Amino acid sequence: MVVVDKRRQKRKTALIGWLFILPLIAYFLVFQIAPIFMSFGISFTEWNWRTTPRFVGFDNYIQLFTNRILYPNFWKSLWVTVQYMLMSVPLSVAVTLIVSAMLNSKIKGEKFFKSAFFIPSVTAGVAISAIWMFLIDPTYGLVGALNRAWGTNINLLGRTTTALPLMAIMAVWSGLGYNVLIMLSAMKNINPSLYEACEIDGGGTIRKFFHVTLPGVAPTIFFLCITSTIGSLQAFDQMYLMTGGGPDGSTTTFMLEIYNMIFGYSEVGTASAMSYVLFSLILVITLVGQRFLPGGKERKIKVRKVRDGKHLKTC
Amino acid sequence: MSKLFTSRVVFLAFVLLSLVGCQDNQGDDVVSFWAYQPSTQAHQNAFRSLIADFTEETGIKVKLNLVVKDSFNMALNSALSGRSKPDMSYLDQPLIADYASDGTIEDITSMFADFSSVQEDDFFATAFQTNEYDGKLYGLPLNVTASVLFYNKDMVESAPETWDEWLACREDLPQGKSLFDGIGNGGYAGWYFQAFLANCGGSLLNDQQTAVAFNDAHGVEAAQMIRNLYGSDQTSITNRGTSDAFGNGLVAFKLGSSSDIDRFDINFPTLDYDVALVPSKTGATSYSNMGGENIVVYSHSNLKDKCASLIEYLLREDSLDKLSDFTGNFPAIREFATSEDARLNVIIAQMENSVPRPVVPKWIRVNDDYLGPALGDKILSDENPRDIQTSLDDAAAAANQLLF
Repeated sequence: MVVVDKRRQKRKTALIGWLFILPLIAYFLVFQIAPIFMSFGISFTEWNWRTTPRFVGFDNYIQLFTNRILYPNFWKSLWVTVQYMLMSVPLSVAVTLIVSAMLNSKIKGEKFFKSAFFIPSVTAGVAISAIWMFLIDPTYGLVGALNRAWGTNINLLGRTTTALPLMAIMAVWSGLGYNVLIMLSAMKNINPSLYEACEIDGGGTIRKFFHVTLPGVAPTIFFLCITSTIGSLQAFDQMYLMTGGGPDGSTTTFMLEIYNMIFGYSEVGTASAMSYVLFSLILVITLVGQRFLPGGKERKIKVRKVRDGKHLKTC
Repeated sequence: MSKLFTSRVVFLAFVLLSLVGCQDNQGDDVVSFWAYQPSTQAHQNAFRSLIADFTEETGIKVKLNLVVKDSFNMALNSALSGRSKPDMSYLDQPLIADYASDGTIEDITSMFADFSSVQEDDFFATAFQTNEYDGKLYGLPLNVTASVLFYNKDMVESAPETWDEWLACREDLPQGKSLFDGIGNGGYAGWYFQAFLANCGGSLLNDQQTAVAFNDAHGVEAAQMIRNLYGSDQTSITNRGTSDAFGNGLVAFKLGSSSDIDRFDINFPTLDYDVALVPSKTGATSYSNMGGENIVVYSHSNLKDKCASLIEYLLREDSLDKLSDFTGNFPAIREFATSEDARLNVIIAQMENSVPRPVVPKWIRVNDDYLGPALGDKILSDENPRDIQTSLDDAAAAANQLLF
């Protein structure tokens, strides 16, 4: 009898627990999981929001990959996005490492610099875009002043060669604070005795950085590489606000093209197919990165050894 | 046990409330009307008041849903794919064909024939044409506007009438100033291109409406004119990248419409400018492009008669005057489109000879994805200007594949 009561009580407790988390589960299923499967289904249809979706099999995917007349921006926007990723991710990680290392070296005004670097991360993308647009306007702002002073005609957003790199620099600048915060936490976690041991072995600042700091933060570098890559593949707002994808499509990222397709032209099936192309790309890059980037699977053991002080001979 | 019971009751209440919240809360006899949200609170109140007056007059209840114009199409499509469908709404001119071709909006030919207060001839002809698809009428124009030529009076004494006169204005420009800006990129470039095309005798579609025609000799001529207006000197290139180059007194001419007049008057009070008809190639009839809002009734609506009453009410002079105030455009009924402002009268005159966009499904994509980039990004590129004929041919090939 006591056993039955205990079981009933346990079931009741479990039920109450489930009831408490049910709203969250419902939210997760309805707004997170269901759209993923729904959009996958929609990607095999022709749909304009208003009519009943018509099943077209793989036609959306085939048209996107093969019909360059009808979809002139598919490959182009994909290439723009890859270029943007190749510019922004390495730059972002490199600058993050340098700034974090500087802040970790107990410089004066560390708190001030931390705050200064973090401000853009908590500033709205629209505000950042507005500030940059004023700065780089060829007639007004900073670039305008330079143009007037030097008699030049610098128009950074108006050139296909400079618009995308500028966007990448903006992204690095605006994301730097968040990345530095994470990297700095990782650096603070490195065992100080490793630096002492390196010093005893005659290691200087640079040697300490490459032989202690870098291996110590390798998993964080990997994390930043993956998150920055995903972020760069989803780049949208700056391009939408500042260039609309121009000049000559040089800043039309894949996400911007998806946006145009779904909200501009109501080609929901095609846009869903594009979303899955992007999803697949992100998945592949993440898996490849996990395999080859520092901090990925292969390096995990080595990193752990460095952290535990078992790799001092490398110093 | 009581705790469990309470939890269950709370949970069930939550679910029920959520479901009730998801229900469309309008009754069966309430007309759901979606319109662009006026930018000021005073205008929004005036809009609601206008609808309230209609309800008081007719007893027909209306649920007015004001949506910001920039996200209107997006919100409307979402609503149409769900349960909160409007009975009638504003609809952007180039979307009429898309919504008509898939049966989303109602053929109102017979509904309009029963209107006693307004006839087809009362409307600006091109505004009315934007609602005709496949020989049937799918909407009615409410507000319209047309592009006109804005010119800086500090740089140019009088407005040119021919293309040659227009280009000749470059010779007298002060240093650091350029002749023209404002075609923009993407969709805007495609839209403004139509004005140039019409002014040299061309059109976007052929006479049979079976293929695009913007890549013919007229199209090349129109594109060449735009390229000539922009010029290729460094000053023009720099000024082109400047935000609001005309407002800031850097360029002599731009194309714009009624909303630009308000904007320049407020933001650039010292700017000395005027407006004129868009110059034509030979100085003959001046044509321009047209924009505005149409009103449509949805096929799924069970309240079409009530929608008809509301439309007829909105087409009255006092209603149209108010609606036009909200958008800065003009009443689509010619007789009501009047103004004491000379500049606005130029736009009204221009509307008499404005050309509508082709009423074919998916024209927006042709305009934004093919024609606009061909012009704004390729032909007008200052880094790598592409051959005009080739650029237009490429855009035409894509457009024909998509449309026909």
